[in-house]
Amino acid sequence: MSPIKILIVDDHKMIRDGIRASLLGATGIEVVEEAASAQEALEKVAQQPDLDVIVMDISLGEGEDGISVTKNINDQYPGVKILAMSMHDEDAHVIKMLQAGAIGYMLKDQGMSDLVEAIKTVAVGESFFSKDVSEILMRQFVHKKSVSKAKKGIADLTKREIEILKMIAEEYTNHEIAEKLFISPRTVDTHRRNLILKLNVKNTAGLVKYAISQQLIDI
Amino acid sequence: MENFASHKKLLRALFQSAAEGIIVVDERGEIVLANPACLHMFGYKNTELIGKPLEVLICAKHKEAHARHRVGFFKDPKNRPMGVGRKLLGQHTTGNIFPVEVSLSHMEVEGEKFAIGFIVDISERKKVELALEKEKALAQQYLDVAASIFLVLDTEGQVILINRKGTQIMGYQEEEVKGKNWFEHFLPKYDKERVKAVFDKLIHGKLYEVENFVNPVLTKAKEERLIEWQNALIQNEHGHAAAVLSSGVDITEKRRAEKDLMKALIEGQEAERERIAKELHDGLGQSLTAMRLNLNALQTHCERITPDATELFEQLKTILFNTTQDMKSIARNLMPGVLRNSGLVKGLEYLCQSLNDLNEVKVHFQAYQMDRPLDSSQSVGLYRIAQELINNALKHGKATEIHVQLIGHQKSVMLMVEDDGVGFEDNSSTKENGFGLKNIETRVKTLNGCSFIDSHAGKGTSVTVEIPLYETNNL
Repeated sequence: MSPIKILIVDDHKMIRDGIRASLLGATGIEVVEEAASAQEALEKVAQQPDLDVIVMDISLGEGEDGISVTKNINDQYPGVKILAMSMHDEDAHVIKMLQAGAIGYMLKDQGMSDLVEAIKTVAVGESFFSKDVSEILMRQFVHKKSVSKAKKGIADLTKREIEILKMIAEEYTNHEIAEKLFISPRTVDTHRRNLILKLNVKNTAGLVKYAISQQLIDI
Repeated sequence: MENFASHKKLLRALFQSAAEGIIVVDERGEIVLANPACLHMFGYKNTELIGKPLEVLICAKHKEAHARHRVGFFKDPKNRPMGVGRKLLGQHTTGNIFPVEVSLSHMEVEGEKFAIGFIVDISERKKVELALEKEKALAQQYLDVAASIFLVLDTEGQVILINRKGTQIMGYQEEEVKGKNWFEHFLPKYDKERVKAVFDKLIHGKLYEVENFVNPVLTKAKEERLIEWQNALIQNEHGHAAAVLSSGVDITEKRRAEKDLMKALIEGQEAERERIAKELHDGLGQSLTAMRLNLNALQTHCERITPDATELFEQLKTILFNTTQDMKSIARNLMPGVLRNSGLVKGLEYLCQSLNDLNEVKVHFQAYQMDRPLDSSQSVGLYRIAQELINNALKHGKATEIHVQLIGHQKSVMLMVEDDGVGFEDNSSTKENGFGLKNIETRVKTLNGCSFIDSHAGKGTSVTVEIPLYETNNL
């Protein structure tokens, strides 16, 4: 089996050297090229279309970013697998990089001992995510569910908001509500405004109607 | 008869010693009698005046008119008390002219009419009056050249006095302001009750002086100007409130400059934080990564040569890992990349998530109708405020559950942070004592917003921050 040919794209020489060094002992992996910029990366791929894996940094310095290069390469050379390696652990970065066509993502600040495994996994066309990245992706998935699918309505209200909604429907005044809940009338009024917005009604009467329809109060 | 004689004697004494000049004139205008006070007043002796025309006592300018009036008087004589009639100028024998006041009465003796004049030399009084008037004019001049507004309101809030500077700032003529109710006509609607409440306290003696009270006034062009007032109660002689005197300075520009400065400071600070964060992330972070990569490469060699060193090697890797994590969290606190790259909602989501990951506190985050553009000072500002509030809830409030809501109202964005922590009772003391609230207030101010802190001991704390989305002239 021929060794996996890889290109390292990172604007820091010491990182490129580091990756090279830690791959030195690994069998079946050969670092054939390095690139320090987006432009250089494109040139190197063009020269070496039989590359197997690109280890790609996201920030390439001077405002260049690995996301668009990844997209570019993925479009032109679909056979080249891209493993993203980054300091960024924010959801948006991970998602963007995956959308651009990377099939692996590693965080630079950990899991470097996985590097060899990552390269080998990606080379055969399978996804590889270091542990933290998996968590980010999982969270993104779970979170999406809870935030964006939240339906307007009672499920969206906090416990305090439901309390206040109930009391408004029971004809308590701001002052009475304030007294009962140990908050200021001004805060009660703020909640009232927020409730009107969150429940998409026009005024206090709308709140009362809503509270009745949800059977928050007995009538 | 004896009675009549004594009356006559009394009258004579009165005539002789009265302090007022008394003069009797016949129908032809000739002087019939003049008492010593009168002679003295005009500089004549004994009987010098008898038979002379009355007009010798009157200054040349008034002689002719006076003669006409005199004729008129005899045609239809009416008594006239002192101070009611016209002012006359008398003429002394020396030629000196002096103001006199005359009251008139008349009598008829054996078919002949006589006029009696009582004359008072009012030159002394005139002098005092003049001096007073001069002083008044001077005071007015002081009022007019003053760089401050002077405003006097009666107990009902009607404008009694406003000086030139005041009308200048308000853009009104004096007549347009005087007599009007200050609170109804010259204050913005949203603020008038607050100001009126303080005014009422002053009027009712609950406050004696209100210093450095700041409120906006509404000019004729419906612009708001921010005025800083010194107020004092004016009491009448019975010690009752009569009016409130206020002197005010227009601090609109000063405030604006202060706010701009504050804003520039905050923006500078944020830019610097961002720079350091980037440096840490891209500089130091890369070096640490390179170290780890090289350490990895070295490990297999080391294990071959000195197997005992494995433990030491692992230790080194752990230290390196922890150092990297520390560096990252410092950088993130300085400037969260997600906030810069993906905006406020994502930024706060990330912040709350990372707190939840610590499993020590439950932070709920909700955003409503936030698909609206915020400029970077607004999103960074609100992010910092939320960060500080959450921090307070955890550190000082010992909260176990925190609700963070970001709600896009029609013209504003509201941030609400509620916790179930220990709360506090006294707003004023905590405000000063390192609750970080000063910081928050400064940030809110530079965003033209307002904040409200609501806390009760043992009942948690809710803080509401609302910032307008569009430019307002709210100062």
